[in-house]
Amino acid sequence: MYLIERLGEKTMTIFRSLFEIVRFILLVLLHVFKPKSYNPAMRMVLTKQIYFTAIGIIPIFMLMAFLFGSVIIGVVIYLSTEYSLQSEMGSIIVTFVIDEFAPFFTALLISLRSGAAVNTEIAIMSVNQELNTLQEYKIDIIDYLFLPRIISGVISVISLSILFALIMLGSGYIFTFLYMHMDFNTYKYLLLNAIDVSDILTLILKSFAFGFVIMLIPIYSGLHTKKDYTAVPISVLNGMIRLFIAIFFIEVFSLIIQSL
Amino acid sequence: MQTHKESAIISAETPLIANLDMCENIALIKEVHDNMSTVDAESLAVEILSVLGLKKISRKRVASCTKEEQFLVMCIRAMMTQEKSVMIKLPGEILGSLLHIQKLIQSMKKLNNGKEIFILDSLNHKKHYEGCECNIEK
Repeated sequence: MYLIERLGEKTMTIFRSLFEIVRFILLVLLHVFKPKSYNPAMRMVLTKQIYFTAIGIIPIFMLMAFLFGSVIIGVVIYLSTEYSLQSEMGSIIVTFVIDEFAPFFTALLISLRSGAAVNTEIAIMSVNQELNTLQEYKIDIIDYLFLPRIISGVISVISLSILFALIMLGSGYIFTFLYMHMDFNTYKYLLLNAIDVSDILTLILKSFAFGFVIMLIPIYSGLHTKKDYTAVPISVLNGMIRLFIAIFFIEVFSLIIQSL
Repeated sequence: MQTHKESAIISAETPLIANLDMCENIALIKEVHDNMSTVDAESLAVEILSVLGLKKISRKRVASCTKEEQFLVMCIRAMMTQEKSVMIKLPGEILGSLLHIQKLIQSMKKLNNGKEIFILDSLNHKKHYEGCECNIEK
């Protein structure tokens, strides 16, 4: 009996928090379409957030994209030649880089860098009663705090995923040149013949979904921090776990959709 | 007396935003409520800070300012609102001590923009307000 009670209680808690998250998402989406949300303060925060999330990270991001990208694309090219799949190499590279690796790896990097920062920032603001200040001075926290971060997350992940894919495809050429002595034109046509509109669409839609959750979940987690400084690391920890679960689900969901 | 909801509140529960500098904290109100551009709102904020001789702290954040400076910035922020009055709740909690409250009230008078200012404090602190050009009501 006790076990059933515990199970029921746990299920109710899960459904309640799911309902709350869905409600929060709908509320945020409602504000996205309200022109009033885009006041000068919000636009200033949005500009700063895009700078911190997408621009500030570019040098280290490009370096990491080149290092990780080269190694992984090298393995893909090596394996495809090992298994005599040279004729399919273009499709393999395009599917692997554009559909899967670029958005996923970008999402991981942005989560670790900006997701954790946003979670901490909102949690500290909550503990410091700064959210109370905003409410008291009739400043909508969704417009001022959440919307710019979510929009910047979406813009940053989409643009950095495209950059990551371009760098990875570039380093792919270096490998094909060194390993297979393939000239640039052959490599270019190999990719151009393999690439499809659906690949670009997959990259953009996946990056959009990743960007949305990378900011939304840490914000939600930070907002629900208990009013104590010791609760801040717990909030970040929980936020990051939820975020990685969400990223995993988006990845699985996109694989299911693509396999249909 | 205006009700709580009609007043801009200054209290320990409504601190300044830590990741904004003093100028941005003040400008935020005008940007949101009057749709004033960031440049105009910030120059207005600097102008008002200059009236109180606080221009030097305009680009400083909370941690770099004294309690008195923070209190005055909170007052300026409250003056920026569209509310008819300003309610200061237990200033001792913000300032740590009421030793300089008379000096701060004098500074607030320089900001006079037609808003009524109410200070809500306990009777124990009555002596700190004696001699001040304001009405003390029990």
